[in-house]
Amino acid sequence: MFQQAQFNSFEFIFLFLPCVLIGFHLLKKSSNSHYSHYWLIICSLLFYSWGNLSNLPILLSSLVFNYTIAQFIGPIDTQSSLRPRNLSRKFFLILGIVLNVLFLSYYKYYSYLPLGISFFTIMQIMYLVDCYEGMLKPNTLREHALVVSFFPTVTMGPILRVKNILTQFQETVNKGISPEQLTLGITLFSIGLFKKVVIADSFAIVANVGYGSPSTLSMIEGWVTSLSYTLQIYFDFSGYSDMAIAIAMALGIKIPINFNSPYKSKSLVEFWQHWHISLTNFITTYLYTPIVRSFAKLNFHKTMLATMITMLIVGIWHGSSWGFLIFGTLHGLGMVINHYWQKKIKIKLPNFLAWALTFTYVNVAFIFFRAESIPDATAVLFSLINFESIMSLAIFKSALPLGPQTLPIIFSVMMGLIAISSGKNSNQIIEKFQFSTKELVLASLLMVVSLIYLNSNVSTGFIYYAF
Amino acid sequence: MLFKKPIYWCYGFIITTVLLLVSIVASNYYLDFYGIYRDSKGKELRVYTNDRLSKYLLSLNYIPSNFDGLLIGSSATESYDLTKIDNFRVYNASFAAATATEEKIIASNVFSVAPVKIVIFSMNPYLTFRYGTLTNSMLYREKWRTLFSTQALTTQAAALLYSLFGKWSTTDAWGKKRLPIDSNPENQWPNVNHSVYLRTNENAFDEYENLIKTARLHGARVIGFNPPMYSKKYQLAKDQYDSYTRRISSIFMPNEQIIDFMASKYDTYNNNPLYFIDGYHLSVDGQEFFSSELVKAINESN
Repeated sequence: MFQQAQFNSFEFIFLFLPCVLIGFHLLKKSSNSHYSHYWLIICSLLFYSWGNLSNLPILLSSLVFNYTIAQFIGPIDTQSSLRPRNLSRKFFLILGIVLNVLFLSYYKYYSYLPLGISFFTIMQIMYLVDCYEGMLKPNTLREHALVVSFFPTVTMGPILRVKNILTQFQETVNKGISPEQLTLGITLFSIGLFKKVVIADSFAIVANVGYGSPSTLSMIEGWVTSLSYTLQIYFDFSGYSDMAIAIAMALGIKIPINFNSPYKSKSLVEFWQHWHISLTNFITTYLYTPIVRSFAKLNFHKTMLATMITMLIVGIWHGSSWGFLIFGTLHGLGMVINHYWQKKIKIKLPNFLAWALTFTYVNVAFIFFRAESIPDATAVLFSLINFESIMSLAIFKSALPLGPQTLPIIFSVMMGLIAISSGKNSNQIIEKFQFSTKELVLASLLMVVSLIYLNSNVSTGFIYYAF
Repeated sequence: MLFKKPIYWCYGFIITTVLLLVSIVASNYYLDFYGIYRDSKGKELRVYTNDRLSKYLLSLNYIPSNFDGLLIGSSATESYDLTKIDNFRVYNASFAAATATEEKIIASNVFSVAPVKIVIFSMNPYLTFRYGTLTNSMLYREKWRTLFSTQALTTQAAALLYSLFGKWSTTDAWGKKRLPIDSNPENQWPNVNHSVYLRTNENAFDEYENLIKTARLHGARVIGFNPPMYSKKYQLAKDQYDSYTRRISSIFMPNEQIIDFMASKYDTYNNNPLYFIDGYHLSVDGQEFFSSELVKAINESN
């Protein structure tokens, strides 16, 4: 059955998901509406632990720990019965945050990496802070388990604020699955699956060829390699996010979007407003703002320092390698230059130039994100300006000789380029969705082509499963 | 057309998707490019794409239904024409970068379906240079993937191109690979140190030896043959090559035929650059000459 919990598997699409939806729909209409919540919790824990049961105690311990800490923090205006009178709410907040960070750091840097730990730990920290700030009352254990283990988001986000999701579960408690939401969910899931298994996985094949021989790449091969990965990671992660949003949508839960055409951005600041939006929101609210607040006297340079520190943390959040640190540093530096340009130089670049600069910079930063080592990253980086060998395609011709066998990859790459350059992203498609035959045929085609790729050797796991 | 109710759209989506899936599966079942689902006796099935996967799939039914012999080898022997061997129909199971493990998988599939009367073993060191399978494509699940996968679709596309333009088929119905354009072996890969392929992986060597034993157990006649090599390339690693040849010859029984194209009587041909494209792979002239020599030697011993 499952090797690991994956949206891009036949077992998930044809067995797990239909069972979850049918069970949820039927139980929502039952006399005790909380049954549907228990059903979702069971399904989520099953999804999370499938293929690797050893992950489950880690999620459960994080869940119970944060539930308990929140009880100690208690509501803002009343004394929690659990909290000793000599210990403040702040004490428990700090204790909770420190232990969550230690918990994450231990598993991320010193042990094996449990699935989704980077995502659900961030969510728990947000929850504790929101409890402390009085934005929500501490959850019951059922509520907390329902939201934190929610299977569409537990492994790779989007990173949710507990309050937003919990409110929706409470508001829709007696309503069955709406056909309209189900339709939109099906369409968005088809788009997401297509982005992942057809486009991202094919770009992965091209990128892997180049990153497999970094020291011998010609200039054109260097660009093809780096661009392939830049497109792979976008289609991989945004495809996953689309599927997560789609599944939640079918369950009647609206999850905020995670990507909004980031590669059309004309500045690095704009890029981060459109890339991994849920992480950007977290770092802005829970990291950048507290750092800025911690400065006694605020000025432009101090906010830039806060930006730099924040982006470094973002880099380290991805992993302990130098590549991630350089990735974070490059983005921090880019943001600082971006702000400095807007504030001090104030020259507006032509749109195309602004876009090209931003995209190239993002592309270069991703080289450090992807390469196996710093020497490999440097080799790929220098290949981008390898004037000694400009047009040679020897490595690609050898690994991917042109012929019928490469047709699926060529088709996918073309689809990817069309998708990235066309006007609408998946969110916009869903916003303008009509229940028409055209949409039906297109969604069916996306699903069928995705299933064909899924049933082939092309299909691989998600990149962010490693974080 | 707009649907009156969203739920009708959902039903329409499910019906359309299922119909598309069924039509793809049905067309692949009907075309049956690998002779898996229906009787393939008397059919002439080619390889259109992905030799490794295709020959694996053909070994499930097509090869045992139509052949009673196999040639085990790698790219150095994939262009041998075996159609003129008397009394036996020998399928060329060689393919580029084949390992002993992969050839054993193919042979085992064939052995499990029908008796094999003759197995010709290439003694090329490349077969024992690496152990295991090079890709994860030689698994039984591939049988079902032929109904519904990118491989199935590319095979359809290649078959269509072949029927229209006569191109894109990589082998004929006997597994013989179409040859590339001739070129001079002295210009091909001049800097590559091919002696690296003379290193022997002991597990792979055991696999090769086991395959010979399995062939004997199934009552097949076992023949070894040492493929030719362009003399200048041979001289670069002569000692290593000779040592390997001695070792691999020792696993054949004294009564088993070994055809040695590196013997001195073939020196004239091995010195001829027009017979090779890169020192190891044969040109059209080379393929014609050495195939006929191989066939002649086998026929003489029949």
